[in-house]
Amino acid sequence: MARLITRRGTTRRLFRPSLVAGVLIILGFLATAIAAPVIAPRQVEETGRVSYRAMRARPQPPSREHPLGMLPGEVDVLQGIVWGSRGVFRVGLAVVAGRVLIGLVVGLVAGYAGTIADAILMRITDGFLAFPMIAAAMVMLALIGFGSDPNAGFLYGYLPTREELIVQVALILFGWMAYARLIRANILVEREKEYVLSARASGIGRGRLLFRHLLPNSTQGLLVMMASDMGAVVVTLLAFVFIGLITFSSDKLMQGDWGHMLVAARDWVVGGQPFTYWYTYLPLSLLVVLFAAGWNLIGDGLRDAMDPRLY
Amino acid sequence: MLKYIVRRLLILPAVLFVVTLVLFVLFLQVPAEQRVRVYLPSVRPRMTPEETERLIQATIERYGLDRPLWVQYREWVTNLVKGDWGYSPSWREPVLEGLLRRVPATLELTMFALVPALLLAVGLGRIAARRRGAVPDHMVRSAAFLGWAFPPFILALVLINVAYARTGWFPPGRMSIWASPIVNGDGFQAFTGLLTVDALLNGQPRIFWDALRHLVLPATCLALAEWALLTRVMRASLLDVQGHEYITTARAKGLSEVQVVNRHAMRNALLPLISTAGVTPPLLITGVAVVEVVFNFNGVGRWAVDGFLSTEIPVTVGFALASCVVTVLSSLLADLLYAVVDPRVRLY
Repeated sequence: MARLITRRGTTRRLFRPSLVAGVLIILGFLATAIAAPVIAPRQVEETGRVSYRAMRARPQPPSREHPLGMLPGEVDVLQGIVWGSRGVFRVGLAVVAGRVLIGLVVGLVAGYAGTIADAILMRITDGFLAFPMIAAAMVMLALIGFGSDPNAGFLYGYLPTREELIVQVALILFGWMAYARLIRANILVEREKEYVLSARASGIGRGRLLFRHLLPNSTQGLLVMMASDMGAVVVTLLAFVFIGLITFSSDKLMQGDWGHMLVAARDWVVGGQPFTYWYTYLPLSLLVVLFAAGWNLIGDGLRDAMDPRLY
Repeated sequence: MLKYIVRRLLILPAVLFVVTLVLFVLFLQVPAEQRVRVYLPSVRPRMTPEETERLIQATIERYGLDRPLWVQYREWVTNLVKGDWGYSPSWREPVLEGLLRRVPATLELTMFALVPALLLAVGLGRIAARRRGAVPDHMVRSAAFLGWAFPPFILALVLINVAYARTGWFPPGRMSIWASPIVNGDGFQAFTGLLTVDALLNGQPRIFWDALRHLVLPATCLALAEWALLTRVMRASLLDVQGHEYITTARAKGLSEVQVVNRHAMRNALLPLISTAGVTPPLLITGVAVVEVVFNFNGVGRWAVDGFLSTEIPVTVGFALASCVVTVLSSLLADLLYAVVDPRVRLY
């Protein structure tokens, strides 16, 4: 781990205020996600699902039992926030892991396999880079999700719906390029170094050279990118749900899903007196900002620790 | 220089080939019989089954849907180049026409976001770098950090509450209800399609202020992230440049501090800004779509999302294609600009 973070392994540099603040924020979210059943226990009915009561069509203001009030349909805001924090970690980790995986493979091949493979792979990378994420997500949803039941393949709580899965795949498929470029650039530098020559001279195989020697030394900046990406991925996904790319489902809302909660709150933003229904969207919005800011703090802090020159 | 430009231009078709290929491969995932429906031009109401059948056959013939895949791909691209991007039933117009009609509105929104963002980024980034570690630096850095972390749609929620629901100052939409008959009426000539410019050219200051009022909030939401990113780049690159020896030389020559910064430091510090700005269009386009939907602003982004929601594949694909072309062209523009500004690039 230390090798991934700093080259000389000076751990003292890691204790930077921004890094510490970011880690604390994210640890807070993580603790909330893990301890969700303790913090916000909820009645699960016999079917295994929490029921959606559509009778109460208005949000309910905060009360003793519901400290942050309720969304229409008697969805407790605090419960939704707590349980939804699991979802954002799941999505963020899955998407970032997928991006890193593709980026590693493409970067490795492009950086090592020679000029023709490099040129082809880089043009493919450029092509994917041209897609704005929203266009990619909409195209994938429209073409692959064509005619499908939006909730097909749905398993309580853990597996994403078909639509969510498609959006996540789109986020991976059109989001690995920065990683590939990073790894490629690092490999291009590393492969000229003498330890590569001596490793080759000692007669090891190409695979061993790549994965045991080159790759571990070519991860400069990878953690920085991953950390900032976590926040960005989650925010992008929430924005897509917010503008309606993913079909709203009350099931999802009941389980606690930040995106669906924001959708449910959307109609109450400009209702009655301004800020009458503040509890439907304001606490959650601030938490989304905090979540993104936390990951960015970690990213910035890591970068400062590695490269204290700038920023 | 010429060699660089030619080499850079040669990349263009390769990238566009990848883009169209990706779209085509995704497009093939649609079942064949549905794909015909996608290609079908306007189906007139009350067509007899025979007529419909003939139309389908003609469509299959025209787009080569019963031919090998590479022929289909070729036909598709040929049609795209000719300007046949498919037909949108719910808007009752060809896709390309609908797209181009909404470009001015989106362009206007983007301009009103991008120009202030860029100017503020250069100005504030410069102040932050010059006063490194002092109060202005901390303020700019914090603002840029928050701006980068703040999702535009959440900013939109807050802004709508504060600046519209409470005060009524900055309403959503593109223009007020009273303005619409004037703008669409005979007396109002659309010179550019940019409402603010047209209003001034037509001598209608009320329309101008109205259009401006509607632009403030969406442009702010769109500009924030862009501004934050560019400010950070500007600050970092000016700090980097300030450490170079030619700056010391400039000072040693006895130039004033303003001259040192403006003539020597800023010129080089602006270079990374160009390359960063050149790669942001994909982010900007995503931002445009989200902001237009949230603020009900009638531009390309909202058109695309509306089209997507009414399962209009040609609209969705057309939007993706158009936005890719915009991205590719803007990154080309940035690279060429970079070569003009930085002589070192031309050596390659």
